[in-house]
This record gives sequence, C-alpha cells and structure tokens, in this order.
Amino acid sequence: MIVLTNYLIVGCILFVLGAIGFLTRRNLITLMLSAEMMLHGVSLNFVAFSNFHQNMQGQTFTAFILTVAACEAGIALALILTLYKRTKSLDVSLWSQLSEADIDSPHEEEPAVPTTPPAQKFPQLTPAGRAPQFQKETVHRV
Amino acid sequence: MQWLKEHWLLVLPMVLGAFAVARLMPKGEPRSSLVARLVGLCAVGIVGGTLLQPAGSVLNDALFFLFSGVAVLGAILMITHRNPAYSALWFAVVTLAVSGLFLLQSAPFLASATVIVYAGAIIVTFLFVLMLAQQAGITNYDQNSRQPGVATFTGFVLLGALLFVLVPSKEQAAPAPITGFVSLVPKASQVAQPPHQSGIPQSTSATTAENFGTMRGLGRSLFGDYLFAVELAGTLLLVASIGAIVIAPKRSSGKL
Repeated sequence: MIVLTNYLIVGCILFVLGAIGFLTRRNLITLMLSAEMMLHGVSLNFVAFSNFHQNMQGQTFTAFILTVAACEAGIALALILTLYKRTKSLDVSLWSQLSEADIDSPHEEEPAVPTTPPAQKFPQLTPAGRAPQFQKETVHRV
Repeated sequence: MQWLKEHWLLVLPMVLGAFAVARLMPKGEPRSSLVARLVGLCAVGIVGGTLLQPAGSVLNDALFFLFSGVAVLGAILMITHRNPAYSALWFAVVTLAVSGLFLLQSAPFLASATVIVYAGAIIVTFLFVLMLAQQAGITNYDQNSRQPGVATFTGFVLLGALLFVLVPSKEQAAPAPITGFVSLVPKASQVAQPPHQSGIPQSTSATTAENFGTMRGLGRSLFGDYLFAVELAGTLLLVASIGAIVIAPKRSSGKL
C-alpha cells in the first residue's frame, strides 16, 4: 500500500524550494538548476499519480518532461555562454535593463564581499622515496 | 487563534523552514550557520514525522523516508550553497534521490532515464559551462542573493497553502468515503473497477494493471497511444539542437 499524499508532499517541497532558488539566486547556472529541480517536483507528482491510478499516463508524461528538460538545458547553456561572452559574468542582474524602462532596477548596490577564497588546507603527503631531479634546461617555453 | 491552535503542526515547520532557508541564503559575509542548519533539520523532521503517513510496509517506509529526506535536504543545500559547482553536485544528489522515489513508485525505466539524462548529461554540461565561465573562483554575485527574505516568505506561504490542501486535518479524515482527488489510499475496489468509470480518459491499447510499471507497458503507451507526441518530441529535440548550435557563440571561421 502506497500513500499518495507522501509523494505529493515531497514533490511540493521540491517545487517550492526550486522556486525560491530561482527567485533569489543570481548565478545563471544556479537559476537553471533550480528550474530543473522544479521539474523534478512536478515529475514526482506525475509518477505518484500514475502509480495511484495504476495506468501509464503519468509515466509517459514524465518521459516527455525529460525530453523537454534535455532540450531546455541545451538551449539554456548556449544562451548562457552567449550572455557570458557579452558581459564576462554569469550575474543575471546585469541584464535587468532588458525589462521595462520605467521600472526600477531590482539591482541594489551591495557591499562587495571580499572574493578571496578562505585559506584552504590541502592534505600533504609525506615524502617517500627519492626526490626526482628536475632539469631546468629541458623545459621549453612556448 | 483557534485556527492557529488547530494547525500549529503545519504552521510551525513552515516558519522554522522559512527562517532556516532565509538564514542560509548567501548574503554578505559568510556567517555561522549552525543554528539555521539545526532549525532546518527540525523543520524537515517535523514535516516528516507528522505530515507523512507511514504506509505499513517497513522496508518501503524506510526507503521512502531515506530518499525523500535526502532529496529535501539536498534541495535546501543546493539553493543555498555559495559555490555554484557544489550546487550542481547537490542537484545530482537530489536527482539520485528522486530517481529512488521513482523506483519506489514502480517506474524503473524513468528512474534510470532520469539518472542518465540529468546526472549523466545535464549536470556534466553545467559543470563544463561553469568551468569555462567562472574561472575566477568566488564571485560577488554568488555571495549576495537577491532579497532572500521576501522570496523565502513567498515560497513558504505557497508551500503552506499546498500542504494545507494536501494534508487532511483530523476532523476531515474521520469520515471515510472521500472520493476523487482527496482520496488518499487507492482502495481495492477503485483499482479493480472498470477504468472508464473513474473519469480519467483511458488508453486504448493494453496499458492496464498487468502491464503497469514494466518497460512493455511504457513502450505500449508511448508508441501506441502517444505516437504523434513522440514524433513531436523527436522534432523538438532536433529543433533544440539546431537552435543551440545557432545560439552558441560564433567562432571565427576555420577554428573549431
């Protein structure tokens, strides 16, 4: 016995979390990933209803969702690369001038966060064996 | 007040979850997120413990709670991570968990197809684009999300409304015969009924219960009932690939 509501609840949560990510994040790639996660929530609902009604229509619809998601990802990546070539950035706020001219830009000035990455500790291997001898003359600079 | 007293089990995890997600969203300097993580875990635990109903089979329940917990927590981490590469990896985790849920819902072909298409193709190409476009490392726009409080509030109001509709409260659940959308458990009589009585348009070919969940059933459904849609989907894939080639950045001639 499978309870339908459980799957609907999980699908809802995935959809809403994807929507929140789509609304707030500013990286174009994270936006696309959030949209794909909304699709996950929807297809989970379809599959749950398919199992509930014991027919294949929901699963068939999910197969079409997969197809459309693949198309969408391909075109979106091409678009993202084109946009990146224009602005050299993946920030979606840079494209807010595409909206209506008399609407205020949602882009608010924010204090720049220091972009230096935190000092990362890399593991160090204990030296073993004999250190190789580098020959500086053989290095060709192109 | 009375309403709140009746539905506090629904309102409380929404408030906690909204607080956790809004707090975890990147905004300004990195800050300690231990409290937000704990609160988020609490919210997910309350939802899992009160709203989800165990179905009776221990193994089924354990797998369902495992997969759905991984999916929801991975989703929260995905939308709140400051590094988009890690976001993509968490999305792969969500995809794997969702395909596990597909398996539980007797859709093995869709589970494998989801893993192949999403985790195998989409995530990898997204990571490639990230590698191409974001070589500078941490960027300013990843550290500052846009109005996380308002968006999270809106999203959780939507989620609360959806859950309020989906989850029957106690006095609603008491009278048993609810038919249609709200009927929660498929009754044996419903499944065994001749299908055209339930109001769902029935397929013409043999996509009935004995074929359900098999590759054969899905194939019969796809290439029997939905043949034209399959043709359209193929055309859509062709158009999308041509479009991607056209849209992609032009290179100077002679160079690949």
